[in-house]
Amino acid sequence: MTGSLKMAKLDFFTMKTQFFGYLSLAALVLIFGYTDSSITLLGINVAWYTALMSSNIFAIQEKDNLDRLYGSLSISLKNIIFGRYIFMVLNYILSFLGAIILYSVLTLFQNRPLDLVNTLFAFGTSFVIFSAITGVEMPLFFKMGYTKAKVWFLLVFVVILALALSPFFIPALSEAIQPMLANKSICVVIAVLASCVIQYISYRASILAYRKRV
Amino acid sequence: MIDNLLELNGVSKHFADFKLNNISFSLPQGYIMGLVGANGAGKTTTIQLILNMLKKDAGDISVFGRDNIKDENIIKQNVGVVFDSIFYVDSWTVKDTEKAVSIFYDDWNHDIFNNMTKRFHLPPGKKVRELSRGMQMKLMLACAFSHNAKLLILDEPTSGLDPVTRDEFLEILQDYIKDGKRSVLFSTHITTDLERVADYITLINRGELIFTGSMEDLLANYRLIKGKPEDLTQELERSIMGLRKTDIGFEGLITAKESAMYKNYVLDNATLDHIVIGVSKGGK
Repeated sequence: MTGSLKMAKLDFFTMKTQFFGYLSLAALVLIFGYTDSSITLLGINVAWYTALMSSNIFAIQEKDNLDRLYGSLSISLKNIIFGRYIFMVLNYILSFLGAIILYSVLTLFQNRPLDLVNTLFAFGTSFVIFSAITGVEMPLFFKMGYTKAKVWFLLVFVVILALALSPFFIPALSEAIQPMLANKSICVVIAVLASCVIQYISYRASILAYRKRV
Repeated sequence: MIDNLLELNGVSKHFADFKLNNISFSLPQGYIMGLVGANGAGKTTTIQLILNMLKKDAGDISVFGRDNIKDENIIKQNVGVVFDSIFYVDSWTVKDTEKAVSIFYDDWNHDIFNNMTKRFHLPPGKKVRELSRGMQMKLMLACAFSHNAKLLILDEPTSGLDPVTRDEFLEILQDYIKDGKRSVLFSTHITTDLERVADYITLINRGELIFTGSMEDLLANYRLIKGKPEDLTQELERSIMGLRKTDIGFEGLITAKESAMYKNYVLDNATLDHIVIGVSKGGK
């Protein structure tokens, strides 16, 4: 575990210069806050944006020969991979928290109270989408490296995002899933559990993928 | 006390288009070993196997008397690595590099890092991408020295460096092993560097181990043979490695044992360069 945390820390160091990119996420939150848009839609946007941004870690890994750095450090392959998952999830959670705090401040100024259940539902939806995108993305990047896996990643990214957004644009689909969303609290629990399962399966697949690569 | 800091026994690795076959050598404590061979001979593969960056198909590798896979983390606490190109994030500064790398080592010494960067004239605020190749190599060395590495593994560190920087680098290596407790495995195809600093040589050609032992033994094993075109018999041609024929004569490498049969020819001492070229070109 200590090795994984060190690896997550190294990933934060690696991405240091990229964090300015999250300012555009703040801009997105401002737009959502002022236009009184759905918090669930905001959550979905945080999910795809964070998934896209955090994939840059693999681009830097490839560009700067970081596989060689990892190979020289006192850290095991499992810790490298687990550390990367910790980094990705932490990066997402911090982004979501930042977005929600900014959104709450805006709604507070507009005298619109933030509903806790809706916020948690937005988190659940957002987290499951983030997990689905990164869950497929990570083993691909570990297996093929950034350049080779980029096209596959974008394909997966578009498909998952289209599926996630389809209820907003297809009324029939929206109506069909309404009964399932009747109890939002249960939906949140299911979404978080599903996300954890996806992340775990993805982690196991990444270990196999990275091991085969070396 | 461990006699050999590094030992390889029958190590093999098969790729679709290349095979590293049955490599065995050992590096005693307190010495520098040169790992030589032409490009594509298998030097980097050997180093990657030692560092467990590649999975071996057969054989055993022990570092500090420990298995390189089972005890990988413990071993790497005491191993410093320098590759032919920098492997730090190019937007990191020298100071950032220390922050990022130091978290992985129990024995990291900030004062040593500071002293090394001062000695190497590495400005703490300078970004990795702004450093020259020589400076980048020195930054990798500073990191390797700052965690008190007992074994230094260098993969083509001097290629592309100017002669002054190379000379400085070789002095640093000699300084490093001075206490007799540390060793260096130095892979390169610039053999003049090794002639200056290496005590042992391991010569690999097309994935096969050709020689491992002391530099003196290797140099004593081969002779450079020269003669006029008419002196080149078929039998001699078969014995020569890396034969070079011109209108005025021939030149090539021959084993010391075989050279005894050609005492009437011009026989010179072979340099490491002659040996690597001769063995790589083959022809025997």
